[in-house]
Amino acid sequence: MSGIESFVQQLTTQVTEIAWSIFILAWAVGWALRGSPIPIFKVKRTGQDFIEDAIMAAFWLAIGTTVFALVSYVAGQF
Amino acid sequence: MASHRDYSVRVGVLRGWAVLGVSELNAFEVLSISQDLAALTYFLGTLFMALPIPLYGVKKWGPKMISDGIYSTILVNLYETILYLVSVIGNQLGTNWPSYMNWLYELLANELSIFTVVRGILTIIGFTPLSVPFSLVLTFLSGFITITGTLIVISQLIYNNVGLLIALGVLMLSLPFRIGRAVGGGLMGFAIVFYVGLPLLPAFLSTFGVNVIQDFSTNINSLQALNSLLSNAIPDYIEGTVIMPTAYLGILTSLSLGVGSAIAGGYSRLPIQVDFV
Repeated sequence: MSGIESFVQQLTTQVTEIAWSIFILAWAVGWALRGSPIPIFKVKRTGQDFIEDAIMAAFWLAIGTTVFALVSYVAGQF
Repeated sequence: MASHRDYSVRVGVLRGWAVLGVSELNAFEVLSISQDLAALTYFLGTLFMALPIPLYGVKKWGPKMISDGIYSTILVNLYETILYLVSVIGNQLGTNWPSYMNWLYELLANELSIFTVVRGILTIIGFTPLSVPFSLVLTFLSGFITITGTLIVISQLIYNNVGLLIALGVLMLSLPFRIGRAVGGGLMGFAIVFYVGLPLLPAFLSTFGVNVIQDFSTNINSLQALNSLLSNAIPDYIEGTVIMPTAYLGILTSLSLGVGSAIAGGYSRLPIQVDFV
């Protein structure tokens, strides 16, 4: 059981790291598209969407990291 | 040599299954894994949400998995509350497991005593044209005993492992990409409904005036007494151990599917194949 548990925990840590990296990438790609000197509105709109999604993802990542750590801490006290 | 190796492997596998048997699993260990899986689902959701790919089909998994992760975490932390609520609802409805188990064993004992009488008569009269109806009666009684035995096994499984079944349901619900959502909801619905509803089977039977625990006299001293015994016992057992329990289990299964759907937020699938519904 502890083997499966530590595997899932390790996987979660890796996924969290990748998610933060992707947030930075999406942020950069989003601004690059939005700020690009291309007179195509659809491309700029896609860049704007990437930035918005990246900000929302970062928000949920930060909240999730805090809440799950808190839940684990409280559960570990009993 | 090969057969010896095969035997060793088989014993090892059997021991493995014994270790992984239902009674050896701990509900809190399952819940601990569920909590980790819920976190994994949540963080996968954030990963999908942040992906810089303009594909709606991929990105829609982000908010879905975030909400799934939060929902699973809530279920994991509400485990004790769910068990408490199940127990309270059971008490309100008059569920009494020890009394129900006594009822089942008493029913089995009655069936076995009639089986013994008929079997004894059949042994005495031997293979004659008269033995044909007795063989038929024995077949019927074997069927009743098998059904009662099955009911006892299902009841023991639910009574002893309701917490574990609910924890396994939560584990299934916690899996990423909604892989086990339907089965998880179904498992939780099955455990909750059957734990509350199964002990009410005797009350359900008595509502319809069926009494299978009545003392059938097995003191056979004439053909008339034997005829009286069989003409009373067999119809009562057909009604009280086959037809009515099947209908009752069908009702409980439908309720399980409903509760499972409510928990899973969609359709649910029961962990066992139910053919009689």
